[in-house]
Amino acid sequence: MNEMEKQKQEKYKIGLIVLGLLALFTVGEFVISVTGNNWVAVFVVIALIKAFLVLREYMHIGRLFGGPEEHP
Amino acid sequence: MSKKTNFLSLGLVRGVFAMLVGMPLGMGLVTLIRLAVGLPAWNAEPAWVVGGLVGAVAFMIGVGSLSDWFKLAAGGELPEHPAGAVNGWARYFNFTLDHKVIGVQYGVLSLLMFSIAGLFALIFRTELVQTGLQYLNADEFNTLISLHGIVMIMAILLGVAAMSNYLTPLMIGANDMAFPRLNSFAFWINVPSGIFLLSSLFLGGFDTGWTGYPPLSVRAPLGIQMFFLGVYLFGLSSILGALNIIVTVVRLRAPGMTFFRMPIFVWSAFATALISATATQLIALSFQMVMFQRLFGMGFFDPARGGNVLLFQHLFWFYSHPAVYVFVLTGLGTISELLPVFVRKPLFGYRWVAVSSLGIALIGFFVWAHHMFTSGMSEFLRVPFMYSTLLVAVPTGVKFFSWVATMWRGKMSFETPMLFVLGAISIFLVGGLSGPPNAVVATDLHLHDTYFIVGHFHATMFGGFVFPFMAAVYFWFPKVTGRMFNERLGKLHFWLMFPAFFVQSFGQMFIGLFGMRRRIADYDPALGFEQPNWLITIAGMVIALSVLIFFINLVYSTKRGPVAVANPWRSRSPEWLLPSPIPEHNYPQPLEIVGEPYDYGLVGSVFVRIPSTAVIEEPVK
Amino acid sequence: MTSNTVSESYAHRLATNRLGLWLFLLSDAFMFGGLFITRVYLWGDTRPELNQTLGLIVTSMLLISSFFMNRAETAMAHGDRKGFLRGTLVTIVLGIAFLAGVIGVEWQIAPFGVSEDAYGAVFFMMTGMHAFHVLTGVIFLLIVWNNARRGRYSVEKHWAVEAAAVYWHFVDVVWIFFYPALYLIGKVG
Repeated sequence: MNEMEKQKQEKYKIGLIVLGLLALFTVGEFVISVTGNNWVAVFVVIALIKAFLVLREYMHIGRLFGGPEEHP
Repeated sequence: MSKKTNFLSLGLVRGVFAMLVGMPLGMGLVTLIRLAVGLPAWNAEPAWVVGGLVGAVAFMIGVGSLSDWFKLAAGGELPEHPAGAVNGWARYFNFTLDHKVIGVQYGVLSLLMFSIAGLFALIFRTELVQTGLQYLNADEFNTLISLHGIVMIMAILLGVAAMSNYLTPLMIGANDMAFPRLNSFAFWINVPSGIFLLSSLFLGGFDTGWTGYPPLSVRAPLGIQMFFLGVYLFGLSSILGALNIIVTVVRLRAPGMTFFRMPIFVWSAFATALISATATQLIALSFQMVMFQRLFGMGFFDPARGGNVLLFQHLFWFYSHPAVYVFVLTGLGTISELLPVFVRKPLFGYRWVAVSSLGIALIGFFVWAHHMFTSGMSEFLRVPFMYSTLLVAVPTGVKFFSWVATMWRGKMSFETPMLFVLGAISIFLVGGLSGPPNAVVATDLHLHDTYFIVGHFHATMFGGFVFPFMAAVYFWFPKVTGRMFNERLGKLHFWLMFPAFFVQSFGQMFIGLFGMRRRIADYDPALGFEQPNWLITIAGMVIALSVLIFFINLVYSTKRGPVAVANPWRSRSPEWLLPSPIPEHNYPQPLEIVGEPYDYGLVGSVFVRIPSTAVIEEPVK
Repeated sequence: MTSNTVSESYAHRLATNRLGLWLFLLSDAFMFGGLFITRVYLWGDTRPELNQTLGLIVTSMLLISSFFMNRAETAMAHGDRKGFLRGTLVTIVLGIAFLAGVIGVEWQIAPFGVSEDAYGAVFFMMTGMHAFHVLTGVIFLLIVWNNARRGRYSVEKHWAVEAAAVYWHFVDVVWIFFYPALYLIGKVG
């Protein structure tokens, strides 16, 4: 059970890091826009990175292609 | 074995009653909301749209399609396969999980819609025999051509679903689809859909053609909203059904059934499903935008408010062109599946044929704007779309060469299914060859919106779907019913339909080349098209007669036909290992794959076997 | 179904369900893609004048809700039912707050009506379709939350939880693209 708790905290930490990155990118794109820049390519790249983070870390897209369950 | 079933307890009947209750409820809801926000209480359009949606949901509740999911949401558990509740004929009118029953349901509904749409065609074709308007006015004519188009499309999608539902699990050795409840839901949602489509006749019709282009569709009568609703619902059915097929093929193949050992039909069903599951969203979106423009006055397609009608055409054709590959890929798969059986030779280039289906599906996503060469879209788009369209001919050609090479020096026999396969190949050749002139910009500018287009797509639809579908119905009829159809009536059906079709299609192309516009209720007598139009109409009637013979044959043989032998066509496909009709959970034991699927004529070769039962082995001559 | 050709273990069933859900999301993504194309086609390199602060606030709420959703699912997978219930509740509240922000505030203060011009049409269609998905997601989460409260899910078997979470994140991903499309890209026209 202790092992499980440790794993959970480990995954919580990853979730927090992802949230930090998402916040960073969101504030970034917001600042770019409100300072009057219209860098379309940058917006697109930022959106793609954010989407990739969510798909990979929150939605666990890897489970689709992985083998059996990785649950403890 | 079937206990006496009360008519009122049938799912279909309960569904229709629930729908009759649901629609007024929805209409009342809209009226109440309108009163609450201070609008005039009654407005027919929102009332019918919301009434229709609520009615459709009510139908699904009534038919029993949602009860399992409600149970699940309330925290209940569901058995994987509940014991069969209803037996006998009544299960065809009820919510059921058996993919074979659902396949037959799809097939019967498909033939019903097919007949209705064909009837519409006969009505307006007869009007065209003479110049001037005899018994239809222009609005009725337009409504009939529009409904002929969309109801046919629905019938074809239902037919495609019928084949892939019945055959795919059997051919890969699965006992059912991956999501049986979703499968049944996807079928039953078609019933309200069909009701809506046909109800547009009584709500002013719609004069836009099945394409529903704005701005015409923005101004059309109320009937167009019912048309949108109908398309929306069978689009949903198409998406969910396709999703189910993909998951079934990927996840439920029998051990040893690798992708390149699947029967070729499964490949085409898979490629078809890839298109349906994704592209269908865009026709739904485009129709929804017109719907909202009518309901809320949103200005998507109103240039005065910064809208653009071309946007509709892009979204619409992004589905509606790939849709024709949805129609034909399954049919072409059926041809490749049946041909080796009647030629007793391996399918030539199995891998190439398998991959060509995926190729057609993929290229199909990049050709939509060839419908828009004359629409006023940016001219630089024309040439790329011309080339991408011509590229479709390559994988299609692969299939043709495979068929010819398969037939080459084969031991052909000409039973009814084989006749329809050969008919399909020759008609699809005409349809295919009349395609490039429409793809090439220079010739399309002349041909666009003429009867040549009508001839072209009727040839592709008949060759790519109707004939293969008929072949499939005849071929698997003994499997489904356990009885044999009447061969003589079957041949009569073919020999009436086949030549009549050529007269019709060539007639359409001919008058199209000389300038007959499509979708037109009347034409100038000076053009001299009365005689060809007369011929086309007669040919259409002969086709109708042949279909009538087909129906008589089906109904009669289901009841009175001689009991079929175990494997009348000596097919190697796994479903023929099972008794006919097939018991509820297909395979008593896991299927074993021991060889290649199409080694017809190779002595002693075996494709599949069920341990401790018979195998289908190629005999020594 | 005991003698099925394919093993009907829970793990097998789970992988099948997953593929089905992801295909559904793929299909749905085409619809949202169509809306995105519509925005590009009709607005081009311009955008309407929208309240930037509000845009940032609702976006943050949705992203943070995804964080809590992920936490909740992780908790369930590690046997922490209390943590799951807590995380899901926060997610639901944030989802409803997002809806209130978009429909309750943004729709009311938008400088154009639904039927005024292409800006109105596209803006209300995109936010409306997205809000509809958020709403269904909230309902889905409420059902899962209620069933979890009654102990219907375990560490091994909680597919409904995973499905609700993945769906929620999907709606979030859609907004990741819609936010710059509506609020950031283009010159104010």
